[in-house]
Amino acid sequence: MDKVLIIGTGIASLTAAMDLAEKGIYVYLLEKEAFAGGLLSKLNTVFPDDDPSICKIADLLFSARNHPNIELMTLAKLKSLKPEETKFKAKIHLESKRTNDDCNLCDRCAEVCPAKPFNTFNEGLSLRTAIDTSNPYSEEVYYIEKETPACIEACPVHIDIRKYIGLIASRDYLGALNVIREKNPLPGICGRVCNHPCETACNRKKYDEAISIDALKRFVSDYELALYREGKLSPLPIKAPSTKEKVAIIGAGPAGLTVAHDLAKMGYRPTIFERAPVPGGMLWLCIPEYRLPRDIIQVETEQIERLGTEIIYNHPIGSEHSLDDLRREGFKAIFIGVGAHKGLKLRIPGEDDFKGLLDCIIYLTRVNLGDKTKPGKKVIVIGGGNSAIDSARVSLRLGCDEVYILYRRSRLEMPANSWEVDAAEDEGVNLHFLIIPEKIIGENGRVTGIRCLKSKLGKLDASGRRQPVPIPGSEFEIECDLIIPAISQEPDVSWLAAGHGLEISKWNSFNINTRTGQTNIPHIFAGGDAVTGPQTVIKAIAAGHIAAEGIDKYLSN
Amino acid sequence: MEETRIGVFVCKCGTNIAGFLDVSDIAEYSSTLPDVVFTKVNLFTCSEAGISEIKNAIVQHNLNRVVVSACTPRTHEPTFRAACQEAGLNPFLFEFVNIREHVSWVHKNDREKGTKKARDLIRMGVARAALLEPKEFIEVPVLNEAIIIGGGVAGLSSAVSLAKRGFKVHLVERSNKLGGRLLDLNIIQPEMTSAKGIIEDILHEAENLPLINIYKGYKPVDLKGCIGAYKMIVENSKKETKEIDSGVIILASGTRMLDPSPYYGYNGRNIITQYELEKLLSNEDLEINNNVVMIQCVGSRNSENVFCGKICCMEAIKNSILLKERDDRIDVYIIYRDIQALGHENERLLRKAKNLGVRFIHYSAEKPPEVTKDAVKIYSDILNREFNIPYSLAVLATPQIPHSDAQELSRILKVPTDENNFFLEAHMKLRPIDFATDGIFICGSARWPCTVNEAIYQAEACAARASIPLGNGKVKVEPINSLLDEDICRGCGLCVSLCPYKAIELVNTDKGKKAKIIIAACKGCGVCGSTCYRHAITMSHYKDEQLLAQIEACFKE
Repeated sequence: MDKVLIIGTGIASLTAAMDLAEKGIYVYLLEKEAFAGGLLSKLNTVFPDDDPSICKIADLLFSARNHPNIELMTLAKLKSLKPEETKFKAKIHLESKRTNDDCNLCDRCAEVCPAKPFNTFNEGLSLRTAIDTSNPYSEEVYYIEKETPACIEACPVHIDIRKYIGLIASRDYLGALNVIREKNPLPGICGRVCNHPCETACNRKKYDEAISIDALKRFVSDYELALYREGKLSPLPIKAPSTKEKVAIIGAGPAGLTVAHDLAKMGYRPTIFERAPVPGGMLWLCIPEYRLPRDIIQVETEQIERLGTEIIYNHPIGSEHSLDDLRREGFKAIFIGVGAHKGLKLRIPGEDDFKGLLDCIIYLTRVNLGDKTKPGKKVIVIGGGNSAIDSARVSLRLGCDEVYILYRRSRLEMPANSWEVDAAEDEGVNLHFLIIPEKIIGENGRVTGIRCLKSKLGKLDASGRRQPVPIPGSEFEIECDLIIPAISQEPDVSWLAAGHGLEISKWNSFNINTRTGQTNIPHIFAGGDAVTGPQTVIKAIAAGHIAAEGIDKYLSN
Repeated sequence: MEETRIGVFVCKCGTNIAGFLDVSDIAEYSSTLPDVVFTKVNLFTCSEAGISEIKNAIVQHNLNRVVVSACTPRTHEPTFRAACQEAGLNPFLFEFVNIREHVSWVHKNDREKGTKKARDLIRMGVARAALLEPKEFIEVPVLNEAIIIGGGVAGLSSAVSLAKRGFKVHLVERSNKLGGRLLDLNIIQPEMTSAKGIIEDILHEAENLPLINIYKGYKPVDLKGCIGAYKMIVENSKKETKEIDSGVIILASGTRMLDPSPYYGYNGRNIITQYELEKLLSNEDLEINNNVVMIQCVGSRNSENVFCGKICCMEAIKNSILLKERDDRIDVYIIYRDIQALGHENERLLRKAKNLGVRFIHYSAEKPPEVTKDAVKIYSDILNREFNIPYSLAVLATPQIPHSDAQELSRILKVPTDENNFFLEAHMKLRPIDFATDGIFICGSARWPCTVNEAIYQAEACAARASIPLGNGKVKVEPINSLLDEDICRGCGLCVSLCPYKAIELVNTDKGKKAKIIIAACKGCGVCGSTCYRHAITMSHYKDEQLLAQIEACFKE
C-alpha cells in the first residue's frame, strides 16, 4: 500500500509530493482552497534574488499536476482520519468546481461574473468574482465559490431560494411560486409562520440585514390568491384518481399534507383521516388566527385535494377504526402524522388539585374552534415557546385583565420567535424572566395563585442553553385565577390499539428510520412532531418529503 | 519536408518584462519573422492559463516549433517542454529566449533599446528554432549504492538513513575516527543534550549496519562517470588507493575552525576560543573565578570572512548559562555585534541568560574591543561609554570555515563553491540540498555553518532525495551531448585530453584510432566540438548550423 496523503499544497507539500511521486509512491495532494500553491503562489517576489514568487512554484505545480503518481484535489477538506491495521483511512469532502475539461480558460466568464464574494485571501477586505481568476498558477483556475447558497443549505426542505428570488426580481411571480412549490406545498402558510432559518443564514447580514426571504414567499402566494379571487386565474383542475396503490395518512397537519401532496403527484391515491373538523393540525388548532388566517390554510389544503387527495374530517383512527382495519381496507401503506398535542405537566404540587389550570394546547384548540369566552381575569402563562406567547396574546384579545408570562430562563434563551415576543410585549403581556414555579395555591377547589422561586443562570445544559438554578429563600407568590402551562408537548399515543407492535420512544414519539420515515412495521411510516416532538412547520414538511419518498420506494419494490 | 510552423509566446512576467519593454511591439514584430504563424502575449506564460494557451495553439495552429520569450531556462524550461510534449510535440522542438534576465532586468532604464534587443534575441531564437530536431531522453541505469564523503553527524545520519532503506553505503572519512566535531563538544542547546550522547547513538547504529562500508583515513582524489555510474578513487596517507563504484554521492565534508591566533592575543590559556571552552566545561573540576568575557564575531563578518558563523551566538549564550549555573559568583559578559537567537527555544535561552545576570554589551565593527593583559576594553555604542572589564578568562567566538582543500574537492566532484569556499547548492530555495550536477547532494556545514539538528535534517533530506534514483534503478538524462562522425575523426586525441568529464576515450578500430564518446558521462559542454579541427564532433541540440543560423540572424534585421 504505497500511498501517501499530503495535506496542503504549499511549496513544502509540493516538494514532498514530487519527491515521493518520483520514487514511485502514489500521492494524494489535498487543498481546501480552490487554488493549489499556498501562500507563495500569491506573493509578488521573494528575496534574495527578487524572482517573481511564481518562478519558485509554477514549475513544481505544473509537474505535480501532470505527474501520473499525484492526484491533486482542490476544494477538498479532510473530514476524518482513522487508523486501520496497516494504513490510514481518510474521509475527504470534495466540493463541486463546476468546470470540466471543455473549459479552455478563455477568461470571459470572469469578466462578466455578477457574483462578488469576499476575497478570503485579503481577509475579506475586498471582493472578487465568484468565478475566480485571481490566481493564475493553479489547478482549477475557474471555479464557482459554492454549490449551495447558505440559505438553501439552511432550509430544511432546500427550496431553491436563489432561483425564486431571482424570478421575483424579474417579476415572474407565478414562476417563483412554482419553484417554491417544488419543495414546499404550503407557501402561504410558511410565508406567515415559518421561523425562516434561511434568513438566519443569509450572507447579506454581513453587509446590512438578511433578505426578507419569508415575506417574499408570502407575497407571491398572496399574489396568486388575489388572482384567483379576481377570477383572473382558474384554480387547478381536479385530478382524477390514479391507478397506483391507496395510502392512508393519519393527520392533516403539515407533515400529512406534504405526504399527500407528494404521493398524489407520484400517482398514488392518498386518503387523509383527520380527527378534527378542520385541516392543518396544529396550524389551525393552535396558531391564532391573527398570525395565520384560516382561509390560507383552506386554500392550500384545497390545492392538495385537487391534486387527488381525499380528506375525511372528524374521523379519528383508534379503537373504532384501527391501523389493522386500514390495512384490511386496502391501504398498502400508512403514514402517521398525528403531531404532538399532549401538553407536558408542570410536575409541581397542587397541579391536579384545583380547577383553573388549562393546558395551552387544549386552551388554544378550544379558542380556535370557536369558543370565544373569556377564560379568566388574571392569567399566568408558564413557558417560553411560541405556544406560550400565543396563549398570552389570545387571552388578552379575549378580554382578560392581566396576562403574565413566567419563564425560568432569560429572554435570550426563549425558544419563541423573537419578533413574537416583542409583539406580545407591545400588546401588553407582562413578561417575567428567571422564575421557576414551585407550587399551585388554591382555595375551595379553585386556583388562587402560584408560588415561585427566583433563579439565576448556571452552566450550559444538553440543549446548549444555560440551566436555570433556583435561588434558595427567594420564594414569592402571585395571585391569579387561571394558569396556562405551555412547557412543551409530546405525541399522544393513547389512540393506538393494544398490541400495536410499533416502537415508541421514552418521549412517547415514534421511532423511525430517519432516511425513509419507516417505522419498525414495514408498511407504517411516521414523521413530523409525532417523531421529533414539537418542532417547526418547515421541519414537518421536510419529514413529509422523506416519508413520501420512503413510501414510494417501499411500494415500488 | 514538412512546412515549418513556429509559434512565439511573449511573456509579460507581470511587470517584470512588460514594465520595461514594449511587449506588444515585440509580439507584433515576432509575427513578421519567417515561419512564424502564431504569436501570443501572456501575462505569465508559465501559469496554467499560459501553458494551456501553448497547448491549444500547438493543436489549433498545427505548430511544429515553439519559442517562448520569457525568463531563464533554469526555472521554466522543463515546464514548457512538458507543455509541448502534452500537446503531442517533441519537447526538444522548443526554444527558450530569455528577455527577462538578458533584457528587461539589465536594461531597465532604456525601454527603446531594450525592446530592440528583445526583438534581436527573438529573431535569433526563431532562426534556431526552425532548425531544431526532435530528440528523446536517454535512460541511464543507476547502481543502487551511494558514496558519502564525511563521517560527521551529517554524513553518518544520511548513511544510516540510506542503509536502512536497503542501499549499500560507502562512507569515506579523511580522519581515522568517525564522529566529527560533535566528539569535541559538550552540551547541545536548546535541549541541553550531551553531544557525545547524540553522536554515539548514531555511530553505534552506523557501525552495526552491515550495508555501511567505512573507509577511515581515505579522501577522494578522483571521480569519473555520472549519475548512476560514478567511480571514485580514494587515497589514504600512505598513497594507497581504492576504487569505489556508486550511483549517487552525498557530500558532507563539514568545516574546520578558524585559526584564532591572530585575534585579541589568543594564547590558549586565559584567552581561548568558545570551541576550547566546550572542552573545559565538560570537565567537572574546572575552576573559574572572577570574570569571563566572551567576544563574539571574532574573525567573521569582516572583509576576510564576510559570513556569519551562525552557531556562535547560541554557543556563547549556552556556555554563559552553564557557567552561571555552575557558580553564580562568576560574572559573564557577552560582547556582541548582533545576537542571532532565532526560534522560540533559542529566544527562551537568551532570556534565561539575561535573567541569570549575564551582561550583554554591544559593540560596533568600527570600534572593536581591545584585550589587554588583565582587562577587556570595550566601547558600548548604546551607552556611549567605555568599559574596562577585568577578566580571568576571555573567550573568542571564532567561526567555522571551509576546509583548506575545499577547492580541490570542488574540482574533483565538479561542483561549485561560493565566494567563501562553501559549497553552492543548485538553487537556494527550490533545490537546497542538490548540486546542479545530477546525483550529487550536499548536507551539513560544508554548505553553510549549521546547527546539529539542521545537519541531521539536511542529511535525512539528502537520503530521501538520493533514494529516488537509487530506488528507481534508472534515471533520465538530457540528450544534449557530443556526436562523433567517425569517418572524419583522425584519432588525434585532442578532445580526449580536453574533456573535463573524461567522457571521451580513444579506441582502436578497423580504420585506425578513433575517439569514442561515453554518452552517459558527457555533459554536452561543447569543448570537444569547438576544438576539433576536423569538425568531426558536433553537439546534438546545439549543432553548428543551428548556432550559425542564430548568429546570422543576429546581424540581419
